Amino acid sequence: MLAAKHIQLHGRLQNISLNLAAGEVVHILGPNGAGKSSLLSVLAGLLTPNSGDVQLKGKKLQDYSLVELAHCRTLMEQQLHSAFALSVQESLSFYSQRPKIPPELEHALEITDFLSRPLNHLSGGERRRVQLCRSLMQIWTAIEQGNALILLDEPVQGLDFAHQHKLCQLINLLATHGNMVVVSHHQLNLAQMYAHRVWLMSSQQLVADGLTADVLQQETLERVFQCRVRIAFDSEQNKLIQTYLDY
Amino acid sequence: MQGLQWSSAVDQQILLHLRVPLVGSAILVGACLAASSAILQVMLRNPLADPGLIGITSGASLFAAIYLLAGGATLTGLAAYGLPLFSFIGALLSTLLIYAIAKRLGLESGTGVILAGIAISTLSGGVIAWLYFLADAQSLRNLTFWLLGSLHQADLKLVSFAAPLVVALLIYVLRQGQPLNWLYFGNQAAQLRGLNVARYYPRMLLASALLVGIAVSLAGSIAFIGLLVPHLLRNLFGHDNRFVLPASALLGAILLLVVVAISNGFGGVVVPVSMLTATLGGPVFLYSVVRLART
Repeated sequence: MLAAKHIQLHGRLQNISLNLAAGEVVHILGPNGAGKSSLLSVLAGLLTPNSGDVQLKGKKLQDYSLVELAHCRTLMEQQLHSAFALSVQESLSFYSQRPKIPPELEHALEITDFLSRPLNHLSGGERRRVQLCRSLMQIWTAIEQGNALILLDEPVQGLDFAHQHKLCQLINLLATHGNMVVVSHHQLNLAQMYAHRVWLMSSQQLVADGLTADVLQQETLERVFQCRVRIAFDSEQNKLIQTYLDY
Repeated sequence: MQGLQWSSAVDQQILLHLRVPLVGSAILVGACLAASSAILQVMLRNPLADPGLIGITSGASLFAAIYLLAGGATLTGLAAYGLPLFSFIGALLSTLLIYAIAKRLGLESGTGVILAGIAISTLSGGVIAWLYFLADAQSLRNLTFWLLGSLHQADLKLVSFAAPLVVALLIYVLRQGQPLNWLYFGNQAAQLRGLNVARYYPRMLLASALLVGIAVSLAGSIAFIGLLVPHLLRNLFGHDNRFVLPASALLGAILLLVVVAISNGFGGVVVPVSMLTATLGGPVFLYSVVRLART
């Protein structure tokens, strides 16, 4: 269980309160600069809010040691770059003691083929898959026990369609063990298909927090994203969300 | 018979007062420079960082120059150890100054340290140039010799004083492979992995500065070993710092011993070390860079 109360972070987050239950998958949506990454950093304990507090399993985040946190929560950051030509294998093994990639991760991320290649020779999407694998392997023991807090900042950016869906399915699978997952991105249809709940952010605030179907409404989305939204249903009654601009 | 005894006594003296300090200096200086560079490169996220680039060496050079030009070279007895002491203080002071400036810029890591280092380096270089301009002939010779580096400067006392310090520091830093591996992807990634970066960073910077300070006070400013050794090892054997750190210390020591062996071949003429390290190191570095580009 994760709970945040009245979080303020100067110039980045205003009065945010939220909670997350075990086994839940929340997708954060919102325009650029809305505060999604800042919120994830606060929930990870990387940034300390100016006021308000975050509690993980009933204990304040700042009362955890860095080592304790490192074993039960992970944050995949948006951009990760090294000036050194590290191989994929090295970048995985430095952060995790595991000799092999867990089969669930390999099934979704498919990185075994380029284990020996330097990370900076990979395409953007391939690199993102490696970083996802690294972030999840770092706390894999906690994930297996269903104790983990998984925070992913724009993990689908650069992934092809198949890998976007494989990743979302993996995330939902991990949540069934009891892990908590928060993912930020810009894909309304992925949120529609895979999120249990959606946190909608705008101008440093949490403007909507609710079940996916309740939050992803035309009016709300148009107001937050400042563009037109069309919601349709296909022949099998799947909801499809399309964005466009009137010019 | 008597002649033989006499010669063995002389041999003993030569061994004790020339060979042992020379070999000792080579091992200590090589290990210090290579290990500290291996650390600095990761912490500053720059595979090209070495103590020279980020200004630690130039601070030491400046203090050594001031000492030599103030007539320090003529002192005898305990006061003769003023030069190593001065250059050591110079290395530490310049590191503190660089760190303070970088912190002021809000960039304690990476770029900030490099920028501040280049500033301090340029400033020291400027002052040294003025001192050159003003120096008399003998001081000029001493200064030039120091700036080019020499393994013949340290005597037995100094080497045996430095050795336990270096060993203690190396025992500490060579065990930092794991946290340094986490720093490859920057401070946040390391912190997420459980490292208190705010505390760790100044501690490792200080440890590196102490190593460099000891190296320059033993042998003056020696170029290239620091840049070359860790770069070559990472290129050939991968980036795991649990291997790279001890291997750098070892290879740095071996490389300077080779330099000593080669300079002995010049038949009594003392060759500036930097001249040899650059001549030997240049091609090896070029090979390493070309190899990296090919893979």
